[in-house]
Amino acid sequence: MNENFNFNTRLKRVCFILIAIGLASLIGGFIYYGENAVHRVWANLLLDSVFFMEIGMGAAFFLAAVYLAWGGWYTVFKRVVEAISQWMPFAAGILFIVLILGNSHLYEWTHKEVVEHDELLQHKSVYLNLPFFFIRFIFFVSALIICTILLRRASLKEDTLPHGDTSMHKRSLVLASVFVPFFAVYILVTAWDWLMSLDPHWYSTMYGWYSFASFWVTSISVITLFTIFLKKAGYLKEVNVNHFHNLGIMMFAFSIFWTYVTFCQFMLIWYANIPEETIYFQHRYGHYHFLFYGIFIMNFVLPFLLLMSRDAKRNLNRLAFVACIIIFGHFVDFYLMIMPASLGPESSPPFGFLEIGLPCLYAGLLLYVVFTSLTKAKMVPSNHPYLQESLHNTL
Amino acid sequence: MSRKFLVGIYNDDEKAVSAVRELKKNHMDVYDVISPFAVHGMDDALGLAESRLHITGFIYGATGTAIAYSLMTWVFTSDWPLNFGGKPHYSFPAFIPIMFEFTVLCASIGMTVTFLLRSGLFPGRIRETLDDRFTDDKFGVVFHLHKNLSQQEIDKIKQMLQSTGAEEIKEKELAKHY
Repeated sequence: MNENFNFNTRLKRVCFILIAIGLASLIGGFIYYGENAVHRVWANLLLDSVFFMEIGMGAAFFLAAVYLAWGGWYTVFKRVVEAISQWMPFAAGILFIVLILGNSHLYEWTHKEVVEHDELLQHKSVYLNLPFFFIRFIFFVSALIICTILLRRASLKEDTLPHGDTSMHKRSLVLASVFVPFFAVYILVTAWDWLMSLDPHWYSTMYGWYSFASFWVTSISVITLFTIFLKKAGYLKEVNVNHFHNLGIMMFAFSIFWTYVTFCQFMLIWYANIPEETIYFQHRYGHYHFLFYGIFIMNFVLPFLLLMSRDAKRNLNRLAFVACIIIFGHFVDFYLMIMPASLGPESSPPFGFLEIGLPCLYAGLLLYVVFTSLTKAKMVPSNHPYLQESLHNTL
Repeated sequence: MSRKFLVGIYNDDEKAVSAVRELKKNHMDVYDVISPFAVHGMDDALGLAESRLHITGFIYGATGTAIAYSLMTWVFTSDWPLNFGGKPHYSFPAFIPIMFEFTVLCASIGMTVTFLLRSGLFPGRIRETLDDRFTDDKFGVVFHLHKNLSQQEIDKIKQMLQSTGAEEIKEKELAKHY
C-alpha cells in the first residue's frame, strides 16, 4: 500500500526523447518559419502553453473542488491528481515567457499604431494593455500556484502526523476555499486574455465557460490516463473499477457539459446573426470546416456513445481509449480557438513538424514533472480522513 | 397464495450491506433487501444482475429525439413553412434545443412509467408492506420461508441475522405475491 513510485530509466528516456523531439522542432520551427511565418511558431507556442497550463490548473481545481464537496471517493488516487497539479507552476513559467517574448507576434492590440487607427481597440485599451495584462497574470497565477503548493505541502505533512489528526485536512479545506474563488474569476480572465483577445474585435460572454469546459474535461481525462497507467504498471492496487467508473462518469458528464456550452455560444450567435459576432465562426468555417465538425464528433459523439454504458466505464482499455480521444479532441478545440485568429482567416489549417513536435515537448515536460512528484510521496495518502471511504467505494 | 417471510431489521445501511455479504458468504438464500433509498454496494452484495431500466431509458430517449426531429422538420419545411428572420426553413441548430428537451422528457417519463409498471405500482394502489418503517429509516433483509424449510434451518437463519446485527427479527405473512 505504501510503495513509492519508481521513476525508472525507461520512463525517463521516454520523457527525454519527447523533450528532445520538441526542442528540435521548436528550433527547427524558428529557423524554418523565422523568415516569413514566425507567427505560426508563436501561435503554436501559445496553443501548447495554454493547453498544458490548463491541464495543470484543471487538476488543481479538481483537488480543491473535491475538498470543498467533502468528496472521499478519490482519496486512493489523490496523489496522482496532486502530482499533475504540481505541473502548473512550471507551465505557468513557460507560458509567462511565451507571452513576454511573443505578445507582439500574437496580439494585435499590443501594436500602438494599430490601436491608434482603431476606435474599438482604443476603448478596449483600458483593459487590453500590456502592463495590466501582466499584472493580472502575475496576481492570479501566483495566487493559484501558492494555493496549489500549500495544498500539496499540507497533504504531504498529513502523512507524517499521528493517525486521526485532521488538522491538515482542515487547513486544506481553507486553502481550497481560497483557491476556488480565484480560479472562478481567473478562468474567465484567462479566456479573455490568452484566447479571446487574439480576435480583439470580437467578444462572447460564453467564451470563458467554453474554454473552461474544454480544459476541465481534458484534465479529468489526463488524470484518468495517469491513473490507468499507474494501475497497469502495478501501482495503486487499491484503486478498483469503481473509482474508474466514477472518473468515467465525470468524463462523460463534462463532455456533455462542453457540448452544451459550445452549442449555447454557437446558437446564440447563429440566431442573432450580427456580423461582428458571426465573424468568429465565419473564420472557423472556411478552411477549418472539417475541424469545426470534427471537434463535435471527437468531443461529443464518440465519448457520448462509447462511455454511455456501465460496462464501458468499468473497462480500463475502453476508458483509456476514450480519454485519448477527448484529450486530442480538446487539443484540436484549442487549436481552433487560436490558429484561425493568429494566422488569419485565409490560412489553411497549419499542420507540419511543428504542430506534431511541439506538443511532444510539453508532454515530455509534463510527464517528467508528474512522475518526479509522484516519487516524492507515498502513492496512497495513508492518513487522509476519507481513506476508508475511498477504499470501500462502491458504485 | 399467501407467503411467509422472515425479516431481519437493521438500523443502518452499512450494517445491512455487511450483513448481506456475511449471509451470502454462508450460502444463505437471501430473498430480497428492502431499503428506503438505494444503498451503495447492495446490488453487488446481493449479486443482482445489472438493471435493464437504463436501456429502456436510451430507447425512449432515442425515440424522443427522432419524433422531435421529424416533427419539426415536417412542420417547418412542408406543412407550415414560416420565415423566421430570413433563416432557412430547415434550420438544424434551432431544432437542437427542442430535440434535447423532448429527449429528456421522453426518457424520464418513459423510465418512470416503466419502473412503476414493473413494480406493480399505479395511483391508488396500496401495497402490503413487510414493515412500514422500511419506507422511513430501517433496512430489511428478507428470507422466504417456504414449506420445505425445517425448523432447524429457520433457527439458523434467525441466529445468523442476530449475529450480523439485526435489531429485530420478525415473521410476516403476506396475502399476495410480493
